[in-house]
Amino acid sequence: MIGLLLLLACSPAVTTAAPVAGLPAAAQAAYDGCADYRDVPAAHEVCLSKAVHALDTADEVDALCRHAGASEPTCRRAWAANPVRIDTAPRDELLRVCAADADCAFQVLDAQPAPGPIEQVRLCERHVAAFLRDCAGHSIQRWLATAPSEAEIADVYAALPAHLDTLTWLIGHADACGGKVRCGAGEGPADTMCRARAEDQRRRGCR
Amino acid sequence: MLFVLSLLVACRPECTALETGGARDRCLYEQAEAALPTLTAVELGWVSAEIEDPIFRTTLILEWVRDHRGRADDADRDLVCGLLDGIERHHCVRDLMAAHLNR
Repeated sequence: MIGLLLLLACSPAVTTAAPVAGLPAAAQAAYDGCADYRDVPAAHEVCLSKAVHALDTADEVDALCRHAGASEPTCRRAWAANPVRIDTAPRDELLRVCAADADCAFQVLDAQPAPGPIEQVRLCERHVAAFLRDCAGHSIQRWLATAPSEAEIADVYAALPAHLDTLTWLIGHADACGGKVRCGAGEGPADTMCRARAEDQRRRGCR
Repeated sequence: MLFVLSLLVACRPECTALETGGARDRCLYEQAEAALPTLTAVELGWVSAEIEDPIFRTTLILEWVRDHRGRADDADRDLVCGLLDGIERHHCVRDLMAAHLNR
């Protein structure tokens, strides 16, 4: 009897996977597949981030990644900012999976930009606040490549006053460095800033 | 280089004495993880090559990447991200290279 008790006491613990409340079946299966790592939190979280690839829906991913601890952003990004779906899955669904992970949302918005710069910058404001200047900059550069007219540029200045700094910097740079757009000739603050930036850029040279 | 040799020599008697792959890999992971802040990219490559379990190996590498954002040079990035596959390699390169993630 004592031998049996010692044997039981010294046997390695068997890891059992208890159902987690609220997990959809597919997410539960993915979670169970990581049971061997449950007592090493960092490895368990990475295991969940790998297991997430087997899931098909945003709801399943959202439910599983909530259990990924410090790796929750990695888990979300692994699914949403994945080349197999980032260009094709509905943008809103991907952004929902990204949740608060700004770099995940940044990748999604770069892969599936809104048609115009105003809507795109609004999406940056909503989902990529941590890297807003970078996200807005990408949006504006993409738009400038389409050679917008002076009137279109004026409309965007008016719609995005909080981004005048980025707008005038990029348009001034394009003006000075052979881009497809020119600073306006008006006396308003945006055109004035743009011309000053273009002049400064010409002085420093374009590389 | 000297550090990784001493690390491996120091941990080998304990970790390699373990028979099962999982326990041995966990032992190696935990020893290397404790030394992570001072582990160079080359040393990480050496240690991760000793860990057979892909989860423990990936965990160690991702923790290094998280710890070295803004500090890794191009050679480090190529070496460390080359230890990963697929989407993890893609995100490793971004994590160590993208300007907005390394300020």
